[in-house]
Amino acid sequence: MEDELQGYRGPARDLLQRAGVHVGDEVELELANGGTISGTLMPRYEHADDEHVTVKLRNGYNAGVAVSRISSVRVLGRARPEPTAAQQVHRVKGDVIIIGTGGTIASRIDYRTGAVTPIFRPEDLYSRVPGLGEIANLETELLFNILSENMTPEHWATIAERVGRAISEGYRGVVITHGTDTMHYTAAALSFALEGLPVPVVLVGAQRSSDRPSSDASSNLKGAVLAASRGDFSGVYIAMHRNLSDREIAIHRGVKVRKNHTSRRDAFESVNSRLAAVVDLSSMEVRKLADLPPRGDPGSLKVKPRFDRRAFLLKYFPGMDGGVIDGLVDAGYRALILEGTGLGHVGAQIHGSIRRAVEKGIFVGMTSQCIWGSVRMTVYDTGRDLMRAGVVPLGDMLPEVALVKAMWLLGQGAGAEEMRSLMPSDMRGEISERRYIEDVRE
Amino acid sequence: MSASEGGSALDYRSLGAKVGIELHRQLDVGGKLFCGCSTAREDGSKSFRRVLLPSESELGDVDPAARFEAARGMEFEYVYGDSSSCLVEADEEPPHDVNRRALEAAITVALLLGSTIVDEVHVMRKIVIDGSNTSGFQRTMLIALGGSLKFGEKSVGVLTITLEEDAARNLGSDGRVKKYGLDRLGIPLVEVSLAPLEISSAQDAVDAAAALGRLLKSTGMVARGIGTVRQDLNVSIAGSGIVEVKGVQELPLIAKVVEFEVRRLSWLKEVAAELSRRGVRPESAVGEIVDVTGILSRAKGGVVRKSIAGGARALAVLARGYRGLLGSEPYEGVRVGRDLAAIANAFGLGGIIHSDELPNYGVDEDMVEEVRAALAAGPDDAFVIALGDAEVARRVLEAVSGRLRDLVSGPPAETRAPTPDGRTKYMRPRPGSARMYPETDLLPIPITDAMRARLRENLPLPWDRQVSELASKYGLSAKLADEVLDSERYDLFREAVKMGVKPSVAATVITETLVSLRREGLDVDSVSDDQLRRLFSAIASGRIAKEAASEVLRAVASGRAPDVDSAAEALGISALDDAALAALIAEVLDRNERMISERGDRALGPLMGEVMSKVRGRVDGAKVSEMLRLKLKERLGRSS
Repeated sequence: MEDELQGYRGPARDLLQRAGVHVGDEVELELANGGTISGTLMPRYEHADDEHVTVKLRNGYNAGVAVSRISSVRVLGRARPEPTAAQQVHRVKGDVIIIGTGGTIASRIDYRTGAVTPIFRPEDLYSRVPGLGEIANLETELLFNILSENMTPEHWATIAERVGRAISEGYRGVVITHGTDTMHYTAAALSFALEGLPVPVVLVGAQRSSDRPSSDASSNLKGAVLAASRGDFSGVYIAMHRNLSDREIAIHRGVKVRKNHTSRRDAFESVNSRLAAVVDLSSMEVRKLADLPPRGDPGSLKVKPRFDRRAFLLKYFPGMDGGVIDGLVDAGYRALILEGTGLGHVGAQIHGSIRRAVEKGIFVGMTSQCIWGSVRMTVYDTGRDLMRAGVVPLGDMLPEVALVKAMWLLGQGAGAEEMRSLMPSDMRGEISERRYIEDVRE
Repeated sequence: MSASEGGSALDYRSLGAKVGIELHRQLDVGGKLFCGCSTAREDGSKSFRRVLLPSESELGDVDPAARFEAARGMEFEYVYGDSSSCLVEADEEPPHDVNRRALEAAITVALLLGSTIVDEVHVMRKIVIDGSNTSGFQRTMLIALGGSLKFGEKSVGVLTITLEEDAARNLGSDGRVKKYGLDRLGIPLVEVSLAPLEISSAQDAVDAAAALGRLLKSTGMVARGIGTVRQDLNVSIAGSGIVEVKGVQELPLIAKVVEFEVRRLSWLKEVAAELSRRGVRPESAVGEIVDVTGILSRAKGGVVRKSIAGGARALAVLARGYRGLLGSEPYEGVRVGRDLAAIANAFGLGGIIHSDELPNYGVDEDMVEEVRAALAAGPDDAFVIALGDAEVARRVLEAVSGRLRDLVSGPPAETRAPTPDGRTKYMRPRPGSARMYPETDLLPIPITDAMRARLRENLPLPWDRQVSELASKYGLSAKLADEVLDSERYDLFREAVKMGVKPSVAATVITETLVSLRREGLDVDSVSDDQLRRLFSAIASGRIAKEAASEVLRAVASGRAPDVDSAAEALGISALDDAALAALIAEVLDRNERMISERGDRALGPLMGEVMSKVRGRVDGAKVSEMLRLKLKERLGRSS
């Protein structure tokens, strides 16, 4: 049951409760100085204070009225309940299935209250994103709807299983809507969990909320659907804006991509890798920019969705206390991914704790907080010492990807030896042999 | 219907004429409203492109022409420079906290108008679909309600005071791509909406707008200059809808626009009355749209023949009871047909043709009769034709039909734009009810008692006090001080004084000199602030004499010279140095030997006149007088 005084707490809530009013009612507020303010009672933001009441005036503007100035509240008219459309799963045969996990890709605004409701049915998406219907027949399913910072490895597993079932159901491609904050973690997780993936699985999100006309949601979605249905490649990818203009959608390899800006449309960058493909929205073309695995036989897919949470990503900083590592080991962690400095270094003061971890059978792998470039621990003494202590260099693998890979390998039951041999070897394209000369930042 | 003279013939009171004024003014508060970018104009050299696809619900009440435009998808190119734009303008970063000084400026205005300030300010998003905001909406917030503005002996109520961001600068179109400059996007605007004012003449509206303008300027926090102020007028008469005239830039234009609108509205009331007498009702006002290309293809020449030969279709619609009413022009520019043409323009057509202006354009009497027959027109009926692409022509006639139906009930509500000559032209059927919803990226802003008290204690001095202080500080007459303080170039006055220009000189140049040049018909607005700065700098250094200012500015404003320095050179009025002046004076004295010997000292007067006419403003009059006196004395001393 929805709270009829949504967002109100403390003195404001008391006042409204005593007056018997609900959000959406037409109210008249009599003020202590004799004036009146009338309008519609609006919900209150959770993070606003509890000393004001929010009213939408006749002219459309919202304003806050101090509770201390209100002498009485009169109800002029009751809110009419708005009919809500039920969330449905459509079982119409389609080319591409869009699985929703969060990150609203399309929404409807109630201009009266300001409420934003996600829309997810294919017919709503077709009308909200003109041209989408011509690209592919769509089916949609809302798996869950959570902020991506609240995702856990259990969610990754659920998504992997659902994708696996979709592929056996015969879809040409899968699109997954996702919050942008941890989209690259999920992309990595799916890359490992979906072994022998025969079709493209494209994660997509939006940096600008979908309620605004300028939202990047529609163009990103179109790019994702184009890639999923028409791309002649397989694998896990992320589709987001290539630059600030709305013309091109970048298709990034799921294990070579990172969110590198808090707010820009082109926040996602392919790191240590060329962009996999680009979708030109004016010509509706999907252009490959690199060698990518081809599509294959649905029978080749093996879904391995287990992740073991006992892996940790630790960013080194000058003067870090080795006790942190001892603590992690004692807490039962099985794998430690270090984000070292430069070519893969950490301060000498923690070498002892690292050695102890390795001796106890914990996998310790090295990535770099430079993000760009590969670790190379043979160059300096520090690196050599660390390798002798048992640290495993992880090439140019991104720290976040290394963490997810470790969780996955542990989840598959890998022991210490398998960790040492499988972590540094390329399984899904997460470690590249070569890095091109020209700037590949896209 | 006979033509009559002008607004003076109409009785505004009995017509129930009302004007609601909305004044928007940019604020000069050290940054934009939601970020710290510079508000100075910047012609950017970089750009990016965006597509905006508003949804059906966003379009909402948007008129048919705009909907047609939007449905085709719109692409925009946004041009930017690094000092006036950042990620916020590009809609690549959430807005920063509201500029505190802008908030204080708006609250100060509210205090001056006696308005009730809200306890908590909520920033809203107002959907905008023409691309002038990169995010697809304008951020706006309500600051205060109510209050009143006094002007002379009268007063008018205040409806609302809002604080909002200005839109991107329109840079025209490149084919189907509309270009905008981001330098203007986000500049803080304070908007004051006045209650409808009952006017007995257009001057009432001007007086109210002028008084409001002064009140805003008195805060010292508003920007000055071209493009910093915009006035919208909501004009109505009894029995009419409210007509919104958007973007009236200057005060003198307000009077003309109000007069034009009152004339236009009173005429449309008469049209409605006549239609009623002829038995026309809204439902029966128009007929079906009929293709008459066959009939008109026989046109013997003119625009009709050319269009059809080029592939255009001719569609026609019956306007029942409108005979004589489409083309009748009781006042200059007031004509139903003119607004129908503007509707066609909105859809991209050049105009329409109506029966009151036929036969013409290659269409003869016979063809007119055939069209009338095809439309089953009666003796009192008229028709309207649109020539062009079949779908566009049809949409135009659908919109025209809508208007012809609306007119039966009286002058409709609509949005119009002012034209430079003080008329208005039709823009949209009615002001769209703007879609507005909360800006959830920003928390509401409480307005504390402490803040109110502090601002109340620091209210700016009333206008008259500021004028007399300015007058006494700079030794100006009260009239000149008032004009200077009110001038859009006021900031330049202060700069000039700082440069060392005599205050009275600077004041005169930016007020009386520019005004008189404008009266000569010159485009004074085209003289940039920068050019005026150069002029002042030259006057301060003595390179140009103050007397020459008018001539130099005339040359620049008329386009004869590209800038102040070349104007001075071309006019040969770069200042005379002492040696040259001495030589000139010597020459004059030589020529007037006889008069000098006859009159002695008293020759000074006529000599002065002759020298000054030769000097032509290249030297300060006082300097000439001093040197001439000296030289004359020498001469007289010698001869005696």
